[in-house]
Amino acid sequence: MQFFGGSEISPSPPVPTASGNNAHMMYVFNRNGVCLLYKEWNRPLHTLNPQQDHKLMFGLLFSLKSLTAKMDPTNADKGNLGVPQLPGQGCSFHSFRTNTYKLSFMETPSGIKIILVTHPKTGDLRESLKYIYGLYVEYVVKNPIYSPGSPIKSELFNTALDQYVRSIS
Amino acid sequence: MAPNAELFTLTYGAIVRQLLTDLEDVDEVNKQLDQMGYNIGIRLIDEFLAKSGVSRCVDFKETAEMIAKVGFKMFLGVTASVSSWDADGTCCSIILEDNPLVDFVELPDTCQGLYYCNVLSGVIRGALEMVSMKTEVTWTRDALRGDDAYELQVKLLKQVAEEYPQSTLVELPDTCQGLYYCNVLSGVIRGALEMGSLIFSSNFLVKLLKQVAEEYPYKDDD
Repeated sequence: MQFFGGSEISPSPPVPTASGNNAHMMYVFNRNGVCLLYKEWNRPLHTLNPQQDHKLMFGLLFSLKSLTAKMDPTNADKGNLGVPQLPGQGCSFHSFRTNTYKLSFMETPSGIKIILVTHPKTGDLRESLKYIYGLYVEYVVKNPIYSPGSPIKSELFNTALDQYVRSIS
Repeated sequence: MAPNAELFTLTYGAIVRQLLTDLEDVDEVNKQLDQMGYNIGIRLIDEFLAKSGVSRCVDFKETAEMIAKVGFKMFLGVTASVSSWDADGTCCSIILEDNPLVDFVELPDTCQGLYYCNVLSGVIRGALEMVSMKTEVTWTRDALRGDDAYELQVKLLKQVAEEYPQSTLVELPDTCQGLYYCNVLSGVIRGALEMGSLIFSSNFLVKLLKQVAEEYPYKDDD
Protein backbone atom coordinates (compact mmCIF):
# COMPACT_ATOMS: atom_id res chain seq x y z
CA MET A 1 0.00 0.00 0.00
CA GLN A 2 1.40 3.35 -0.97
CA PHE A 3 1.29 5.87 1.86
CA PHE A 4 1.52 9.55 1.18
CA GLY A 5 3.93 11.46 3.37
CA GLY A 6 2.55 14.05 5.73
CA SER A 7 4.59 16.84 4.20
CA GLU A 8 2.85 16.67 0.85
CA ILE A 9 0.41 19.54 0.53
CA SER A 10 -2.70 19.40 -1.59
CA PRO A 11 -1.92 18.42 -5.20
CA SER A 12 -0.86 21.36 -7.31
CA PRO A 13 -3.50 22.35 -9.85
CA PRO A 14 -3.20 21.10 -13.43
CA VAL A 15 -1.61 23.68 -15.71
CA PRO A 16 -4.31 25.94 -17.15
CA THR A 17 -4.27 25.81 -20.91
CA ALA A 18 -7.02 28.20 -21.88
CA SER A 19 -8.72 31.14 -20.38
CA GLY A 20 -12.35 31.99 -20.56
CA ASN A 21 -15.67 30.86 -19.33
CA ASN A 22 -15.89 27.18 -20.04
CA ALA A 23 -17.77 26.09 -16.95
CA HIS A 24 -21.53 26.27 -16.79
CA MET A 25 -22.22 25.55 -13.14
CA MET A 26 -21.04 23.75 -10.04
CA TYR A 27 -22.68 22.00 -7.10
CA VAL A 28 -21.25 20.81 -3.80
CA PHE A 29 -23.35 18.42 -1.68
CA ASN A 30 -22.66 16.82 1.66
CA ARG A 31 -23.53 13.27 2.74
CA ASN A 32 -27.07 14.22 3.79
CA GLY A 33 -28.03 15.81 0.49
CA VAL A 34 -27.68 19.39 1.69
CA CYS A 35 -26.48 21.60 -1.15
CA LEU A 36 -23.52 23.40 0.37
CA LEU A 37 -22.69 25.43 -2.70
CA TYR A 38 -24.20 26.23 -6.06
CA LYS A 39 -22.29 28.45 -8.47
CA GLU A 40 -23.34 29.46 -11.92
CA TRP A 41 -21.16 30.94 -14.60
CA ASN A 42 -23.02 30.35 -17.80
CA ARG A 43 -26.48 28.83 -17.66
CA PRO A 44 -28.89 30.19 -20.25
CA LEU A 45 -31.80 27.87 -19.40
CA HIS A 46 -33.42 27.52 -15.98
CA THR A 47 -36.27 25.02 -15.81
CA LEU A 48 -36.73 24.39 -12.08
CA ASN A 49 -36.59 26.52 -8.95
CA PRO A 50 -33.30 26.14 -7.00
CA GLN A 51 -34.64 23.70 -4.35
CA GLN A 52 -36.07 21.33 -6.93
CA ASP A 53 -32.98 21.66 -9.06
CA HIS A 54 -30.72 20.64 -6.17
CA LYS A 55 -32.95 17.74 -5.18
CA LEU A 56 -33.04 16.55 -8.75
CA MET A 57 -29.27 16.70 -9.04
CA PHE A 58 -28.71 14.86 -5.77
CA GLY A 59 -31.28 12.20 -6.65
CA LEU A 60 -29.75 11.76 -10.09
CA LEU A 61 -26.28 11.22 -8.68
CA PHE A 62 -27.48 8.84 -6.01
CA SER A 63 -29.26 6.70 -8.59
CA LEU A 64 -26.40 6.82 -11.08
CA LYS A 65 -23.88 5.77 -8.46
CA SER A 66 -26.08 2.92 -7.32
CA LEU A 67 -26.68 1.77 -10.88
CA THR A 68 -23.05 1.89 -11.96
CA ALA A 69 -21.95 -0.01 -8.87
CA LYS A 70 -24.53 -2.75 -9.40
CA MET A 71 -23.64 -3.11 -13.08
CA ASP A 72 -19.96 -3.51 -12.35
CA PRO A 73 -18.80 -6.71 -14.07
CA THR A 74 -15.53 -6.94 -12.14
CA ASN A 75 -16.83 -6.73 -8.60
CA ALA A 76 -17.90 -10.02 -7.03
CA ASP A 77 -19.63 -8.50 -4.05
CA LYS A 78 -22.79 -6.65 -5.02
CA GLY A 79 -25.71 -5.86 -2.78
CA ASN A 80 -29.26 -5.81 -4.05
CA LEU A 81 -30.30 -2.89 -6.19
CA GLY A 82 -31.56 -0.09 -3.99
CA VAL A 83 -29.49 -0.99 -0.93
CA PRO A 84 -27.61 2.14 0.10
CA GLN A 85 -23.86 1.89 -0.30
CA LEU A 86 -21.19 3.56 1.79
CA PRO A 87 -19.75 6.66 0.09
CA GLY A 88 -16.73 5.68 -1.93
CA GLN A 89 -17.50 1.97 -1.86
CA GLY A 90 -17.63 0.04 -5.09
CA CYS A 91 -16.88 1.65 -8.40
CA SER A 92 -18.15 5.14 -9.01
CA PHE A 93 -18.83 6.92 -12.25
CA HIS A 94 -16.83 10.09 -12.73
CA SER A 95 -18.40 11.84 -15.68
CA PHE A 96 -21.02 11.68 -18.37
CA ARG A 97 -21.19 13.60 -21.60
CA THR A 98 -24.07 14.72 -23.77
CA ASN A 99 -23.94 16.67 -27.01
CA THR A 100 -24.35 19.98 -25.14
CA TYR A 101 -22.51 19.51 -21.82
CA LYS A 102 -20.25 17.29 -19.77
CA LEU A 103 -20.93 16.59 -16.11
CA SER A 104 -17.90 15.65 -13.96
CA PHE A 105 -18.40 14.17 -10.50
CA MET A 106 -16.25 13.32 -7.51
CA GLU A 107 -17.27 11.83 -4.18
CA THR A 108 -15.05 11.55 -1.13
CA PRO A 109 -15.39 8.81 1.51
CA SER A 110 -16.72 11.50 3.84
CA GLY A 111 -19.66 12.00 1.49
CA ILE A 112 -18.73 15.37 -0.02
CA LYS A 113 -19.83 15.38 -3.66
CA ILE A 114 -18.44 17.90 -6.12
CA ILE A 115 -20.14 18.30 -9.50
CA LEU A 116 -18.89 20.47 -12.33
CA VAL A 117 -20.87 20.97 -15.52
CA THR A 118 -18.77 22.18 -18.46
CA HIS A 119 -18.83 22.25 -22.24
CA PRO A 120 -18.68 18.84 -23.92
CA LYS A 121 -15.11 19.00 -25.20
CA THR A 122 -13.63 19.26 -21.68
CA GLY A 123 -11.03 16.64 -20.83
CA ASP A 124 -10.79 14.56 -17.67
CA LEU A 125 -11.45 16.83 -14.71
CA ARG A 126 -10.68 14.38 -11.91
CA GLU A 127 -7.48 16.15 -10.88
CA SER A 128 -9.24 19.51 -11.00
CA LEU A 129 -12.03 18.23 -8.79
CA LYS A 130 -9.44 16.95 -6.31
CA TYR A 131 -7.87 20.40 -6.27
CA ILE A 132 -11.27 21.97 -5.62
CA TYR A 133 -11.72 19.55 -2.70
CA GLY A 134 -8.38 20.83 -1.41
CA LEU A 135 -9.68 24.40 -1.66
CA TYR A 136 -12.81 23.32 0.23
CA VAL A 137 -10.64 21.92 3.03
CA GLU A 138 -8.47 25.00 3.27
CA TYR A 139 -11.11 27.71 3.13
CA VAL A 140 -14.25 26.06 4.47
CA VAL A 141 -13.43 23.11 6.75
CA LYS A 142 -10.64 24.93 8.52
CA ASN A 143 -12.78 28.00 9.10
CA PRO A 144 -13.94 27.82 12.73
CA ILE A 145 -16.96 30.01 12.05
CA TYR A 146 -18.29 27.62 9.43
CA SER A 147 -20.62 24.99 10.87
CA PRO A 148 -20.44 21.68 8.97
CA GLY A 149 -23.60 20.86 7.05
CA SER A 150 -24.64 24.43 6.38
CA PRO A 151 -24.39 26.31 3.04
CA ILE A 152 -20.99 27.86 2.38
CA LYS A 153 -20.82 31.63 2.56
CA SER A 154 -17.07 32.20 2.53
CA GLU A 155 -15.93 35.06 0.27
CA LEU A 156 -12.38 33.75 0.14
CA PHE A 157 -13.56 30.33 -0.98
CA ASN A 158 -15.81 31.82 -3.66
CA THR A 159 -13.05 34.00 -5.05
CA ALA A 160 -10.42 31.26 -5.08
CA LEU A 161 -12.88 28.85 -6.67
CA ASP A 162 -13.99 31.32 -9.30
CA GLN A 163 -10.42 32.10 -10.24
CA TYR A 164 -9.50 28.44 -10.48
CA VAL A 165 -12.52 27.28 -12.46
CA ARG A 166 -12.12 30.04 -15.00
CA SER A 167 -8.63 28.81 -15.67
CA ILE A 168 -9.66 25.23 -16.46
CA SER A 169 -9.83 24.56 -20.19
CA MET B 1 10.97 18.90 18.01
CA ALA B 2 9.67 21.37 15.48
CA PRO B 3 8.66 24.72 17.05
CA ASN B 4 5.15 24.26 15.66
CA ALA B 5 4.66 21.05 17.61
CA GLU B 6 5.89 22.58 20.87
CA LEU B 7 3.39 25.40 20.56
CA PHE B 8 0.64 22.86 20.06
CA THR B 9 1.70 20.87 23.13
CA LEU B 10 1.82 23.98 25.29
CA THR B 11 -1.52 25.26 23.96
CA TYR B 12 -3.17 21.91 24.65
CA GLY B 13 -1.77 21.92 28.17
CA ALA B 14 -3.18 25.40 28.75
CA ILE B 15 -6.61 24.27 27.54
CA VAL B 16 -6.64 21.29 29.90
CA ARG B 17 -5.56 23.45 32.84
CA GLN B 18 -8.27 25.99 32.07
CA LEU B 19 -10.92 23.28 31.81
CA LEU B 20 -9.86 21.88 35.19
CA THR B 21 -10.16 25.33 36.74
CA ASP B 22 -13.53 26.05 35.15
CA LEU B 23 -15.19 22.68 35.63
CA GLU B 24 -13.34 21.30 38.67
CA ASP B 25 -14.83 17.82 38.14
CA VAL B 26 -12.39 15.48 36.41
CA ASP B 27 -15.12 13.44 34.68
CA GLU B 28 -16.62 16.62 33.21
CA VAL B 29 -13.21 17.60 31.89
CA ASN B 30 -12.81 14.16 30.29
CA LYS B 31 -16.17 14.62 28.59
CA GLN B 32 -15.31 18.11 27.36
CA LEU B 33 -11.99 16.95 25.95
CA ASP B 34 -13.76 14.14 24.12
CA GLN B 35 -16.35 16.57 22.74
CA MET B 36 -13.61 18.97 21.59
CA GLY B 37 -11.90 16.07 19.92
CA TYR B 38 -15.14 15.05 18.21
CA ASN B 39 -15.63 18.57 16.81
CA ILE B 40 -12.07 18.54 15.54
CA GLY B 41 -12.43 15.04 14.09
CA ILE B 42 -15.46 15.82 11.94
CA ARG B 43 -13.43 18.50 10.14
CA LEU B 44 -10.07 16.80 10.25
CA ILE B 45 -11.34 13.89 8.14
CA ASP B 46 -11.72 16.12 5.07
CA GLU B 47 -8.22 17.47 5.45
CA PHE B 48 -6.92 13.94 5.84
CA LEU B 49 -8.75 12.74 2.72
CA ALA B 50 -7.65 15.73 0.65
CA LYS B 51 -3.98 15.56 1.64
CA SER B 52 -3.53 11.81 1.56
CA GLY B 53 -5.70 11.19 -1.49
CA VAL B 54 -6.70 7.75 -0.22
CA SER B 55 -9.96 6.23 -1.34
CA ARG B 56 -12.32 4.25 0.86
CA CYS B 57 -10.78 1.51 3.00
CA VAL B 58 -11.92 -2.02 2.19
CA ASP B 59 -12.47 -3.10 5.81
CA PHE B 60 -11.98 -2.00 9.37
CA LYS B 61 -8.49 -3.52 9.53
CA GLU B 62 -7.33 -1.25 6.74
CA THR B 63 -9.03 1.69 8.44
CA ALA B 64 -7.16 1.10 11.69
CA GLU B 65 -3.82 0.82 9.85
CA MET B 66 -4.64 4.04 7.99
CA ILE B 67 -5.30 5.90 11.25
CA ALA B 68 -2.20 4.59 12.96
CA LYS B 69 0.28 4.93 10.10
CA VAL B 70 -0.97 7.80 7.96
CA GLY B 71 -3.26 9.80 10.22
CA PHE B 72 -1.11 10.03 13.30
CA LYS B 73 1.94 10.67 11.12
CA MET B 74 0.25 13.49 9.23
CA PHE B 75 -1.12 15.34 12.22
CA LEU B 76 1.09 14.49 15.18
CA GLY B 77 4.28 13.45 13.44
CA VAL B 78 4.44 10.07 15.17
CA THR B 79 3.54 6.58 14.00
CA ALA B 80 1.37 4.31 16.07
CA SER B 81 0.94 0.56 15.80
CA VAL B 82 -2.16 -1.60 15.63
CA SER B 83 -2.59 -4.85 17.57
CA SER B 84 -4.94 -7.06 19.63
CA TRP B 85 -7.49 -7.72 16.91
CA ASP B 86 -10.57 -9.59 18.05
CA ALA B 87 -12.07 -12.57 16.22
CA ASP B 88 -14.41 -10.69 13.87
CA GLY B 89 -12.09 -7.80 13.15
CA THR B 90 -14.24 -5.11 14.75
CA CYS B 91 -12.10 -4.22 17.74
CA CYS B 92 -8.42 -3.38 17.94
CA SER B 93 -5.85 -1.44 19.93
CA ILE B 94 -3.81 1.48 18.66
CA ILE B 95 -0.60 1.89 20.60
CA LEU B 96 1.39 5.10 20.79
CA GLU B 97 4.90 4.75 22.10
CA ASP B 98 5.63 8.43 21.63
CA ASN B 99 2.93 10.97 22.43
CA PRO B 100 3.74 14.62 21.65
CA LEU B 101 0.74 15.88 23.65
CA VAL B 102 2.26 14.84 26.96
CA ASP B 103 5.73 16.31 26.70
CA PHE B 104 6.45 18.30 29.86
CA VAL B 105 3.33 16.89 31.60
CA GLU B 106 2.96 15.26 35.02
CA LEU B 107 -0.44 14.65 36.55
CA PRO B 108 -0.82 15.96 40.12
CA ASP B 109 -2.59 13.85 42.76
CA THR B 110 -5.74 15.95 42.52
CA CYS B 111 -6.29 14.87 38.89
CA GLN B 112 -6.00 11.15 39.17
CA GLY B 113 -9.13 10.33 37.14
CA LEU B 114 -8.13 12.57 34.25
CA TYR B 115 -7.56 11.18 30.78
CA TYR B 116 -5.21 13.92 29.67
CA CYS B 117 -5.19 12.89 26.00
CA ASN B 118 -8.92 12.35 25.77
CA VAL B 119 -9.11 14.74 22.84
CA LEU B 120 -7.50 12.01 20.71
CA SER B 121 -10.30 9.54 21.38
CA GLY B 122 -12.83 12.18 20.35
CA VAL B 123 -10.91 13.01 17.17
CA ILE B 124 -10.87 9.37 16.05
CA ARG B 125 -14.54 8.89 16.87
CA GLY B 126 -15.57 12.07 15.03
CA ALA B 127 -13.46 11.37 11.98
CA LEU B 128 -14.71 7.78 11.64
CA GLU B 129 -18.31 8.89 12.02
CA MET B 130 -17.88 11.09 8.94
CA VAL B 131 -16.90 8.01 6.94
CA SER B 132 -19.99 6.14 8.07
CA MET B 133 -18.50 4.17 10.97
CA LYS B 134 -19.93 4.46 14.46
CA THR B 135 -17.20 3.56 16.94
CA GLU B 136 -16.42 3.54 20.62
CA VAL B 137 -12.91 4.72 21.56
CA THR B 138 -11.53 4.27 25.07
CA TRP B 139 -8.13 4.42 26.77
CA THR B 140 -6.81 1.10 28.05
CA ARG B 141 -3.32 2.25 28.93
CA ASP B 142 -2.19 5.76 29.83
CA ALA B 143 1.45 6.46 30.65
CA LEU B 144 0.52 9.52 32.70
CA ARG B 145 -1.33 7.19 35.03
CA GLY B 146 1.55 4.80 35.45
CA ASP B 147 1.34 2.42 32.45
CA ASP B 148 4.19 1.98 30.01
CA ALA B 149 2.56 3.32 26.83
CA TYR B 150 -0.62 4.92 25.48
CA GLU B 151 -3.17 2.44 24.19
CA LEU B 152 -6.53 3.27 22.65
CA GLN B 153 -9.16 0.62 22.11
CA VAL B 154 -11.19 1.30 18.97
CA LYS B 155 -14.38 -0.73 18.59
CA LEU B 156 -16.53 -0.62 15.48
CA LEU B 157 -20.20 -0.55 16.48
CA LYS B 158 -21.78 -0.32 13.08
CA GLN B 159 -21.43 0.98 9.54
CA VAL B 160 -24.12 3.49 8.73
CA ALA B 161 -24.83 3.74 5.02
CA GLU B 162 -26.03 7.07 3.72
CA GLU B 163 -29.78 7.42 3.68
CA TYR B 164 -31.56 8.30 0.48
CA PRO B 165 -33.41 11.42 1.59
CA GLN B 166 -36.73 10.18 0.17
CA SER B 167 -38.84 12.16 2.57
CA THR B 168 -37.27 15.40 1.42
CA LEU B 169 -38.10 14.78 -2.21
CA VAL B 170 -41.85 15.11 -1.62
CA GLU B 171 -43.47 17.89 0.32
CA LEU B 172 -47.22 18.26 0.27
CA PRO B 173 -48.17 21.84 -0.59
CA ASP B 174 -50.99 23.53 1.33
CA THR B 175 -53.42 23.05 -1.56
CA CYS B 176 -53.17 19.27 -1.21
CA GLN B 177 -53.82 18.75 2.46
CA GLY B 178 -56.48 16.03 2.00
CA LEU B 179 -54.23 14.00 -0.29
CA TYR B 180 -53.08 10.53 0.69
CA TYR B 181 -49.86 10.53 -1.34
CA CYS B 182 -49.26 6.79 -0.86
CA ASN B 183 -52.85 5.81 -1.62
CA VAL B 184 -51.64 3.62 -4.46
CA LEU B 185 -50.57 1.10 -1.80
CA SER B 186 -54.10 0.70 -0.47
CA GLY B 187 -55.30 0.07 -4.01
CA VAL B 188 -52.57 -2.50 -4.56
CA ILE B 189 -53.52 -4.46 -1.45
CA ARG B 190 -57.21 -4.29 -2.35
CA GLY B 191 -56.63 -5.41 -5.93
CA ALA B 192 -54.36 -8.28 -4.90
CA LEU B 193 -56.79 -9.55 -2.27
CA GLU B 194 -59.68 -9.28 -4.73
CA MET B 195 -57.92 -11.76 -6.94
CA GLY B 196 -57.98 -14.14 -4.00
CA SER B 197 -61.76 -13.70 -3.77
CA LEU B 198 -61.70 -11.40 -0.80
CA ILE B 199 -63.52 -8.13 -1.39
CA PHE B 200 -62.49 -5.26 0.83
CA SER B 201 -62.89 -1.61 0.87
CA SER B 202 -59.50 -0.26 1.71
CA ASN B 203 -58.38 3.13 2.75
CA PHE B 204 -55.10 4.18 4.09
CA LEU B 205 -55.49 3.08 7.69
CA VAL B 206 -53.47 0.65 9.72
CA LYS B 207 -56.77 -0.81 10.96
CA LEU B 208 -57.19 -2.64 7.64
CA LEU B 209 -54.23 -4.90 8.17
CA LYS B 210 -55.16 -5.63 11.76
CA GLN B 211 -58.69 -6.51 10.67
CA VAL B 212 -57.43 -8.95 8.05
CA ALA B 213 -55.27 -10.67 10.61
CA GLU B 214 -58.17 -10.99 13.07
CA GLU B 215 -60.88 -12.14 10.69
CA TYR B 216 -58.76 -14.56 8.70
CA PRO B 217 -56.37 -16.18 11.14
CA TYR B 218 -53.77 -18.49 9.68
CA LYS B 219 -54.99 -22.13 9.76
CA ASP B 220 -52.80 -25.18 9.45
CA ASP B 221 -53.87 -27.58 6.75
CA ASP B 222 -53.68 -30.80 8.76
